[in-house]
Amino acid sequence: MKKIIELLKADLLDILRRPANMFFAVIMILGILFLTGFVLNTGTTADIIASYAIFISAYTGFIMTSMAVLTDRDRGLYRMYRSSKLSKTEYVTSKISYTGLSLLLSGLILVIGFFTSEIFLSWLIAPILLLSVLAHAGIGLLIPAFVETTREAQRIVQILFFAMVFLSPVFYTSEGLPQIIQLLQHIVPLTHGVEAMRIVMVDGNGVQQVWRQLTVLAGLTTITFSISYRKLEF
Amino acid sequence: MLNAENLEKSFEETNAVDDLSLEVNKGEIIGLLGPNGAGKTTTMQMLSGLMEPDSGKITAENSVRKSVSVVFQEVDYSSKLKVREFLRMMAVLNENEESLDRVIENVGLEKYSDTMVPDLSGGNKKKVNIASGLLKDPEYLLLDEPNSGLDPRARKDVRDMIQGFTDDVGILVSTHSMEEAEKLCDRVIIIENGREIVSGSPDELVSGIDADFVVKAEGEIPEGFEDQATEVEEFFEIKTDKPHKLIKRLVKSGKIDELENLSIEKPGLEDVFFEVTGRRYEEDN
Repeated sequence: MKKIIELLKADLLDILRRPANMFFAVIMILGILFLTGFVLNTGTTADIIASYAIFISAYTGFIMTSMAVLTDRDRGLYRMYRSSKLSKTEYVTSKISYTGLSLLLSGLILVIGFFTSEIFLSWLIAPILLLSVLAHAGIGLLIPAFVETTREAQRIVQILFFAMVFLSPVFYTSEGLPQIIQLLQHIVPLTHGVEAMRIVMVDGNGVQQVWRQLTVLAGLTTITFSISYRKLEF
Repeated sequence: MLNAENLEKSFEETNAVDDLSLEVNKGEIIGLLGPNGAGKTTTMQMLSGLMEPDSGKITAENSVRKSVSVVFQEVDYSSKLKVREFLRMMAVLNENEESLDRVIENVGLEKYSDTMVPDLSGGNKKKVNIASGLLKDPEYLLLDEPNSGLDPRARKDVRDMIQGFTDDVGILVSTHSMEEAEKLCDRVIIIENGREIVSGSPDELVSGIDADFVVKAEGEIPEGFEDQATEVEEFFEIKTDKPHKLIKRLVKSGKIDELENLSIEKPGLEDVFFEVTGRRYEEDN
């Protein structure tokens, strides 16, 4: 546990000592929200707040996990960690815990949503966000587990980013889309998260209506972690 | 003793390491020498347990992964961490916090404890690198090109530091600098294309060259020196115990102006390489 905390501390110090990067990241996130949610939105503001809150943590969790491992590799720190007494489980746990930061961004979006739209706040938001972050962190971990170079990884990350943004109904609603497109959307894990968030936050429904989405996210978390953990060389 | 027998490793069509055997005893500094691409880093990775050899065996008194610490040359310290913060993290990862102050002192980084690692000079970054390896409290320390990219003063600093390490640690240093290895190592293993070409103590290897001096130059061998000179491409060398007489003869021949990079040197490991392979040693060939 001490090793995990120490690695997390080092990552956090590195982030906190680059305030300009943090500032621009938050500004960019809010800018996209403003543009897509309040100017170009095709659903209600509540729809966009619900989907954007889960998108931002899922995407950040996915990017943070994959890039954290790849950056360690590029910097030569990965070999250094491997040569130390750090275990693979401790290393992976620290990188996953690091993605907890992405939940802060979701929190920020929810606060904005609370004051700008009519959303239902429920305890179910926490497990939906958490499972979504974990499932996407698991997908993120698959990239360094299977891909050697950062350049290759960046290409895959871009493709997955576009799939997340355009195939899952983050910035629009699925109603009115052809049935086949709606089915295709469910290939993208984020779609299940977006649906669950809208069921809870927009429609005000409970666990009976979201258990299917939660099960998919939990299953995906288990599968992605099992594969990537086994494959990641440490 | 850290012992490697008949190591082999290939990457696709390339034989990176080919039937290489070596041993490192505690208290000695061994140099793994060779031009860039000779297979030094791959050997280091296998010896540290971070890479599986295709065949061959690596053994130590205890588990190899636990008793060997490896320090690689390419570490990009761009994280905004102070020297002490970074080394504290490495100490925690190695379950060895009690040694932190001692290691910082041993590598001479006390005055830089509060300096951000990216702001350090190249030499001090190498020291951070080595300190990280020492924090594992290893029985065997593998240093991959610890002196590459450093100015002569920083090189000497790092060399002195390595020579000052305790007798309880066996050290394997990979380097492409023959000069560095002569100054630092008790024993050297020269490799090329992943194979050992010669090994022994630098003194022992150099004493095998039957001359006190070597006169080297680039250009055609002047008339009358053909029997004494060994030529490879545009370069030749002549071994002699009386270099002043040889230079006098060269001057008399009237050809001395046509020669470039004329030098008189004590024989070194580069000459051993030349003698064994019949080729000049070029660090990046």
